[in-house]
Amino acid sequence: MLTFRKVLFPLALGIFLMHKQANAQNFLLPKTAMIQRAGSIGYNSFGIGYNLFRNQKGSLDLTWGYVPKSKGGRQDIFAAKFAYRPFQIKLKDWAVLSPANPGAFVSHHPGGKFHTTLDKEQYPAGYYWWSSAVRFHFSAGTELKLKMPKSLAITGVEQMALYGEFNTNELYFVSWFKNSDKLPLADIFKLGFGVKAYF
Amino acid sequence: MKSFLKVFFLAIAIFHSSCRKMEYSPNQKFDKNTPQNINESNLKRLLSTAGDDTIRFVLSGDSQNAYDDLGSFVDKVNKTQGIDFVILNGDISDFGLLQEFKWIESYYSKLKAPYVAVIGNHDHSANGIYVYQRMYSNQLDFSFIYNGVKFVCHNTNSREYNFNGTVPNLNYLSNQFKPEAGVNGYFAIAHVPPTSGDFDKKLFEDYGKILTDNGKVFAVLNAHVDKESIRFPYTPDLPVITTNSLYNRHFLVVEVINNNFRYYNVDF
Repeated sequence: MLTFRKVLFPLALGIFLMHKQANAQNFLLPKTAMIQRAGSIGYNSFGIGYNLFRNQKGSLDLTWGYVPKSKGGRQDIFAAKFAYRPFQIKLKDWAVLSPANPGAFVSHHPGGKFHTTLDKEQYPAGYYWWSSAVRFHFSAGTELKLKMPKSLAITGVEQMALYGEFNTNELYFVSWFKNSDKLPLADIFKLGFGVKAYF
Repeated sequence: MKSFLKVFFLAIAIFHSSCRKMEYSPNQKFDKNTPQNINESNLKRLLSTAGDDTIRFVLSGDSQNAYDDLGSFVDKVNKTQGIDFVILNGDISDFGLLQEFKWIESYYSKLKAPYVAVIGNHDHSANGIYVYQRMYSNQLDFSFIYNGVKFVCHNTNSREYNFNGTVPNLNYLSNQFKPEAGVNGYFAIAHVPPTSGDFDKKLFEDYGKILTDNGKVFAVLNAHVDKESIRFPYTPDLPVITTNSLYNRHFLVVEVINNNFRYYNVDF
């Protein structure tokens, strides 16, 4: 009993905590990396990501994107993207299609001309109800995931995915909601494409 | 091989048509299809027409979020005889987003008469000013003379500049409202009326003085307050008139005949 309290218990606790810590560090290591074109988070955007739930059904990507001056005015955009893949169809041994993946993401636009909260000196409360710096998006994507050949195992990439994603944001949605007679719903959805590596 | 080519061309076609849907950011200032300098080209069109003894124009404003109503608006204006031009008097957009400006433009471009857009306070949100400057007018203050009447369009969205004393630009306005040969009357056209709390109080008196000193200003034409109104904050000879919003399906028709000014409202 004494040995348990004085030796075994701290030892077990130590091993348990070390194990936990290793897990925690592992948890912090990104499991995916992506590059995206358009899709409202930059002309090009680059991100790292984590898998959520089992079978890579959920994902969280953290991205930085940019718009060059010539493509719409210089702009940086940071985004946190969540997506869920409820259907995963095995096409071949080496190909899995996730046809309809709902998601949501938040994008932040740094820069002096964008406001997160209104200046209380300048505007009465509630003068503008939205923040021009932060957009809330809903998305719907399709992803085709391909197993990498063994010869490429050295890269550490186990699978490569190609995806397309439609999204809208809350301000487009409000525009549509107030004008659903004449404004086609399709008009408020914008497209992006990307490539994602699963490590 | 043939079927491969078919798939290949189909993929190209899908990709090509989807390019229009690709958006880099809701806050991008322009895209490949954004029209440019609409005010300038429309004014060229207006000034190249001969005109007649009547100046008749539409004062519309606050097109923000009125997409459901703009088709009827365009029909109504196109059916009205003798409209020389149309003013879109600010708050083109609600959130200052390129997509909103493009939606609005897709309706206004169907007007038979040329139109001119003036900047509103909502158009100052996000990158709205840049979008406005590229699509409509690099200068937020501009003027034109049509059939002996001068239209001075200017920025009165003082709150967006935290009432720093530069908006409205009184130097610009005092130059524009200096009496000049060949001009028999003037209109001051701006989004925020001088009677509004969003107009710089410090400039209220001087602004009025510039207009009343001129002596030939028919009216100050505004929008912003989402109702039709007429007030005389300066002198009984200088009406300050606001048009209701397009969302409320309302605009004004303004006429100058033999140097006499009158206006009436149209609901649609």
